[in-house]
Amino acid sequence: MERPAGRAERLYREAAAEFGGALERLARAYEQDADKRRDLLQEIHIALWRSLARFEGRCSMRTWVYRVAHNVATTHVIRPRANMPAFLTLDDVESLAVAMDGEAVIDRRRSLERLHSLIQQLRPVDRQVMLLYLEDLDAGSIAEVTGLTAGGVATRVHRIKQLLAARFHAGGAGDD
Amino acid sequence: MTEHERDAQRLWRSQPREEHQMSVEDVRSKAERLEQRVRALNLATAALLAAVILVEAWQIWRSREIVERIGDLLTIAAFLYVAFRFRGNVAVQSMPAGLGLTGSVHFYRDQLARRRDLSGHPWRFLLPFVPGVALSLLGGAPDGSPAQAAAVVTFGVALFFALAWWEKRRARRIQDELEQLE
Repeated sequence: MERPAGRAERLYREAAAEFGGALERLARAYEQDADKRRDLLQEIHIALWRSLARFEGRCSMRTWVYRVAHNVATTHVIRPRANMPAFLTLDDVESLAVAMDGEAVIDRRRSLERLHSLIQQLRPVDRQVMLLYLEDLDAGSIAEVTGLTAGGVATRVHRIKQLLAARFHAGGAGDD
Repeated sequence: MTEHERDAQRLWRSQPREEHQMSVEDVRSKAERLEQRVRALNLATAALLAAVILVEAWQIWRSREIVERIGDLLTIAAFLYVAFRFRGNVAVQSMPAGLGLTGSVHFYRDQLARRRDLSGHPWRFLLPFVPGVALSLLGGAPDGSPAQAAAVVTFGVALFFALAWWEKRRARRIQDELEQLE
């Protein structure tokens, strides 16, 4: 029979191999500064490592990994913000996005930078939903990770799709 | 799904991996170091509290003014009470192992509620210091001149109210964020 520590280590290896890229993208979306981002990514990996001792398979590994990662990253974001400075709502970001529409967004790197900057301005809950949506999770899976109702996820995803369409309507978001 | 949405998702997921990838051994040793750091920080906090108490005790021994001595004694009692009452908030905690058991929005809500509850009742941790600090300031006022004593007390009261106002303001902002989550 597999020892608990050995099982946790095996699960961690599997999770890191499968979701390592997604965790890096998540850390990038939460932290702009390269050094702090590295620290955040380490913190996520350590939290994941420690958490897997309690993983009993009641949810999928993907849900578990994203929950751990978003919980650590959200703590990282609100920790230094003693006064809760205003995060932007989807409405605010939408109006910013419209203002950028006039510019032709054809450069992939610039598009990514703008996408990062847009995500980093969002309130934590909207940010979580947007990141999960960008990772191509369906509404049910997003609800499982966040704990939002299916209706709440559907509304937010709808707004995010509108936002992305407005943001990228100049075309070529994926162009090189 | 429209082409724009697919573009955004494709763009997002095609980001190159640039970070140094951690091995299992790295993660294990960093987790151990984190635990050591948490223990060291908690020891440092306890040492700081002990140092503050020692300074106050030294002032009791040094001072000839009975009012000031009583004030310092009450301040020590206030430090001990607040440290005990808020030990969960003062102590640095390592990461909880159950992070995967809680949905991310619930987790965020719990974090905010905990911060709001702490900031929303600032007198719970300010009030215990009021008698001690007030007596220390009164007893320590140079030459015991009434005008100077009044100025010192006014300063002390203003300081406490400013701190309370700051904490209340923080609690209101957190409450706004919590209401947006509903």
